Amino acid sequence: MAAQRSRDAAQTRADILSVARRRFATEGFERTTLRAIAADVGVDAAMVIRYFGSKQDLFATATEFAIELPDMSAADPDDIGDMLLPRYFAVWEDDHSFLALLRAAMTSRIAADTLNQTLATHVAPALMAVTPDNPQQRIALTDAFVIGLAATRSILGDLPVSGLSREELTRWAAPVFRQLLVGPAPS
Amino acid sequence: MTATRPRNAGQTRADILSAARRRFGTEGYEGTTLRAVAADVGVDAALVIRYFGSKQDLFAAAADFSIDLPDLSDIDPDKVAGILLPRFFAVWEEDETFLALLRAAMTSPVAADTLRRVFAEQVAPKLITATPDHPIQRIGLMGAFVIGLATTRYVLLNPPVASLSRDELTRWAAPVIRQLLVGPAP
Repeated sequence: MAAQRSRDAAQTRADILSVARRRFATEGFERTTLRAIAADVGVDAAMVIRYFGSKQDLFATATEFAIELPDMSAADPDDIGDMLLPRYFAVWEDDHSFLALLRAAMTSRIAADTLNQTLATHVAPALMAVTPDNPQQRIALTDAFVIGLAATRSILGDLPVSGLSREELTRWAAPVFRQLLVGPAPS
Repeated sequence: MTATRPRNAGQTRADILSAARRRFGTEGYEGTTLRAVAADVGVDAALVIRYFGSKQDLFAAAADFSIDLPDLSDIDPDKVAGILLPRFFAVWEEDETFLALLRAAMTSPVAADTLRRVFAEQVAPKLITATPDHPIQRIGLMGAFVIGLATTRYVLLNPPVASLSRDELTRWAAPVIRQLLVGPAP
């Protein structure tokens, strides 16, 4: 019985996170309520609070995405796109947290700050290893490109870029990563 | 008295559109109600319906904008970015329609459909005139780059990109735009 119960608890947590991602993504941070999330899962709002804390805590947990970037310090500039894109695909196509965060960030300052902060702490340090100068601008412009790719491929629907295979997209995106991260800085 | 009525009606329509852009932009398509838009303007929801029809019709009217891109077929590749970016800045910064549409499009299929139509009808045909080959790949990635820049600079307000001047951003973005639209195919 104890094993059964703990498995149920894990399942309930997972269900709450999954519902929370959907609500935050479609209704935004401000309009989403813990009560609505609890009702979707069929539990009490008090249980959501017991598991995750406040709405902002739940948001942080539900949209926390893991990205593993390789050590780029010895990277050949021509290989940067090939090194990065598979990691990005994993984040925006195989994991719902990032897209939920990006959607919520479009209509919420709190969510936008969370996204900016996450990029600064989880993505910037790995990219910093390759930038010869202007690291903040280079990295933020690279993030902008990645966000645009994620939005046009996985959120906005049938745009020209959604039909490209990962391999084809990687080939076309590689010169952009190269230029933004290590190309000549504007004079 | 009859002379002022058309002007007031015109002003009310303009006020409704402006309130609608603000609501759609901050609350998304699904979160916006005709009643809330009407309340912002101080009119009745029935008046909004009489002027614009359904919520979807109001959205279409509020998100209707034109981006005026030139034909790029005979442009020097080094000048393409310099020609395009001022037009993009004009759309991004000089009226609130595009940003309202972009914000709403990320959370609503109806709004995403409108954004795709703007891209397909107004942006893609002009960008294609610059491309020597692989038009789908080139304009697809170009669209991604432009949407990513607008999102990062105006919606997320990520400081390193939001704080660049137009000039600085143009200098950083120009080689990317050149590569995507007219650079060597990989």
